[in-house]
Amino acid sequence: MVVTLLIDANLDGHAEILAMRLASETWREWLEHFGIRFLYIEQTGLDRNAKDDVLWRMCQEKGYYLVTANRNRKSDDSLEATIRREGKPDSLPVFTFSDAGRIYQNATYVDQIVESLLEYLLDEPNCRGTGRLFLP
Amino acid sequence: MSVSTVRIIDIGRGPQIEGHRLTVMDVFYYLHRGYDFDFIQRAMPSLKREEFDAVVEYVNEHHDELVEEDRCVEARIKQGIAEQKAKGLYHEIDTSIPLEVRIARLREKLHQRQKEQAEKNGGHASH
Repeated sequence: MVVTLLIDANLDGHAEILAMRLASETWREWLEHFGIRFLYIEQTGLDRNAKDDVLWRMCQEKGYYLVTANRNRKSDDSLEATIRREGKPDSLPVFTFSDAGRIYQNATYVDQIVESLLEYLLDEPNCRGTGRLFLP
Repeated sequence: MSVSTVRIIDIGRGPQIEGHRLTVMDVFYYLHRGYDFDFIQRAMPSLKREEFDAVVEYVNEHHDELVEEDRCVEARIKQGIAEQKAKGLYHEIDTSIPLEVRIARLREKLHQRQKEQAEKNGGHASH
């Protein structure tokens, strides 16, 4: 099993913290069980300014979970509009940070993010088609 | 003298740095909460100094509307979480329970899933 988390451009630093925490003694068994890997926009071959709809479609095609912070305006090609327009019952969800800055203030918050992520992955069949799922 | 060529454009996602996925709102989230460039660059290592400066210039000219947009974003997030809770899809984390106990529960859940999967596959465990 391999779970790929595609990290949006505004979360690169957050992903590094999550990756380090997942690799720690506390969470390593889960990292290994799910085969969690972090993928960054520049590693995808997409343009640095790729639009939300392009990113979302790539995730669906390749089986990646998109991880975002959702602070942008709604437009026809926005993530929200794309999910509503193109989402299917088996589409993979988008994981969205509720308060991304907290990850730098509170170490226990990092564990809460990891825990929440793992809960979703354990419930994978029920998470499909839900569109967007919020992390704490 | 160096002249910044970084432009802030709007192609539908709100103002963003030209040639980058980063938006003004992505950076403003931190600026509005009192963080400086060094901190913000830790969160977004791909953000270059001249791009940050262009965002700051934009922020200075549109401060009030960005504050209002930030408020709307927070409201949207709260609404999204409320909708998710209503569907029973939000995982509340009970921080009064020690982390080790919560991890043990996750482990039980994993074993349960593996058992269900094995039954589905005709008795062969899936790992």
